[in-house]
Amino acid sequence: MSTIATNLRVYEPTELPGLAGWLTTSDHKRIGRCWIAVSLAALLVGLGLLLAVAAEGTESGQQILDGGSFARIYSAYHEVLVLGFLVPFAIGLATYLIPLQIGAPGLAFPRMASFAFWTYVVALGSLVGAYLARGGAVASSGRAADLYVVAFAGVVAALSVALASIISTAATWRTSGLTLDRAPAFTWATIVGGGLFILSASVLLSRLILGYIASRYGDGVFDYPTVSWFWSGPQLGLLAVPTAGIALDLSPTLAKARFRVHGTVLVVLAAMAILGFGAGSQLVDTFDDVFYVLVSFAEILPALVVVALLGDLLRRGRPSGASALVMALVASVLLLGAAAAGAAGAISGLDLQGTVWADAIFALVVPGAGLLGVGAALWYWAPKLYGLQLSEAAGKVVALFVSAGTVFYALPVFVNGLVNDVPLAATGWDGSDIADLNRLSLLGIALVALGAVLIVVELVRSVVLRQGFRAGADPWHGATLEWAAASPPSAFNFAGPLPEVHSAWPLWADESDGSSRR
Amino acid sequence: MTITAEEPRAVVLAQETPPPPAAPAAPRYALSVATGLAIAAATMLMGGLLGYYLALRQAAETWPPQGVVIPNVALVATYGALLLSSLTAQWSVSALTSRDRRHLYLAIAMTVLLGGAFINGLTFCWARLALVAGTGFEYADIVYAITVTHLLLVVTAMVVYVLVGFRVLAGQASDRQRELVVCATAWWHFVVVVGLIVWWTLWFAERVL
Repeated sequence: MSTIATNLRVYEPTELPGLAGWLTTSDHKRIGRCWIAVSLAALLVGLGLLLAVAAEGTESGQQILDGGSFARIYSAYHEVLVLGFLVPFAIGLATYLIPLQIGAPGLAFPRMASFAFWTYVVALGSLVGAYLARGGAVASSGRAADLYVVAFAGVVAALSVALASIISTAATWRTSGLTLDRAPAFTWATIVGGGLFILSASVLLSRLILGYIASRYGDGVFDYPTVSWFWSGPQLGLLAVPTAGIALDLSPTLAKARFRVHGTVLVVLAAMAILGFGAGSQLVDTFDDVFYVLVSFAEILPALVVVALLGDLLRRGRPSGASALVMALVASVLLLGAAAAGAAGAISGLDLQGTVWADAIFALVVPGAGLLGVGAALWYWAPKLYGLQLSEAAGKVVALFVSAGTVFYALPVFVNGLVNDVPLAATGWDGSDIADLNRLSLLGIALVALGAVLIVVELVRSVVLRQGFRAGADPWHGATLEWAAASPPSAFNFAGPLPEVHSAWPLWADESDGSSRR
Repeated sequence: MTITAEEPRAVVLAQETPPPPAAPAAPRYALSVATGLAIAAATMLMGGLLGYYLALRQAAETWPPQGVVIPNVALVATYGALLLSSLTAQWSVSALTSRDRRHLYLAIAMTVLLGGAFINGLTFCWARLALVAGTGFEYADIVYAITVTHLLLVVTAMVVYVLVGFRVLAGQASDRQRELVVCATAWWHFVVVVGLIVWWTLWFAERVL
């Protein structure tokens, strides 16, 4: 055995084979893929629950579910789509991608990241168990309610620990010259959005502690508003930050143009995250505060700037028409719509508080823009994630189904909130027009669910069955550092030391598009 | 480096796959950033609980409720022990800076011991207060929520300090490992500051002011 071969063996990752390897891995790429797989499974479950709730709404009165089950499934689909799908997917993508985007060989605390993932899996499983035992966030008490609170706290804590590992990496392991003002949009979105997520999650934990004492030691019930503020306005703005980060990250490459000032991207993402910090708006009393109303209106501004930035990029560049770009653009428009709807909801004269208007905003941000952002990320970064390119035709179908589905899903709910004053989580009402609108909404949800199933099917076809197109290191002529690594990246990510970074577009030469490369 | 003629595959492998860079020798301040995030998160956690306490207090006609006897002397001794532990924690950093391994052991042990004394004192105070949680008496619920959460923070700080102690015993206390001791100390100081805020808000401001 030669010295060289011996040296090479030293650099091989020391991962155990089989299941033990997955359980003990400290490879950020493996951990990231695990998060993504779990989040996509949760997406399908969440949309299934959403379909059940929507189907119940096609007639007045209880049709399929009894009152308790309806309330539990209503709260469960919010939790699964936010804490099972959207946030874990963003964490998975960040765990995989951020070390590549900043030119690092791995995560700063890989064992902590692995611990966070497995803790999350156990906590999420316990949460499902609590729901199956008729626990949950809606007026439940008993052992199932205790398990629910503990499991929920475990999920929130695990997500926070995972984010702490990623943020520490992004803050301290950047390659030479990659200052924070040159950070890629997705990395920056994770730093600001993830940091504020940790802070608001801590406030949620404090509410869970109080809920646990009331439920475990007394006869108190655990109320849905204790947790529901986490996926209501303005906190929804914080949950939208990863989607905006994905859209702003991939658009320059796919539109073949760079932003006029990269700093604008960073400022707008930070503003979106700060305005979306909703820990102060948990009680109904706060909804009439001037500050709450001002923040609700101010949330329009960053969403509008994101759309304007992307529009300007398309105007100056040569957009490729890639499905990832289409999904990113539609997601940005949906986020703007959600911000505008959130501002309308804060106008006390419209009396929208407590109506299904809030459900419609949720529809735009999480199953709508969130799913499109996930699709855009998967189609754009699949070469890095799996070494393969996903089918463009499938991507366009996904974009069509999810976009159209979100419109059909949300618009009737908006009308029911504005015109018919249908309260949240209601199963009975007067008037057939409400049922008609709910049927239309059910059709929209079915389209969104079909889009989600198509994403999973395309991933299984391309990645598991290995029928995807083999990707080169840089199929998009990307601007950021992850495209300097192989597809998929080798151990420690890069083949050698990276040169000093001098701009936010380190792989592009001074010309304004991706065709001329350094 | 020796490459023998009968091993061309190794040479080809080396040319095709250049060795990846070694992990960074000294990742700068990653632990400090993580500690900062932990402190920020715990601040929000305790802030949420204390905010709820203050909201209850503001809404109540009499506070603390009738019949509650706050054991001020025992509480001062308990939280005083916690305050003292901040001094010993800082002593550990000074000992590390001056490479005084014996004092470093002593400072870490003293810090953990004072943490234990705080837990012992707090359980005594709970017994003297004789509050029962979950009976619809919100004062008892919120007091336990705040003090137990703070106690758990103290326990995490003790665990971290014990781990740091083991690493010092393993000979890892050097200038390169300084960040570890400094971050553990920062977390300890934070927990002490939170303890002082809890003492002021729950106990001192209620009876003495």
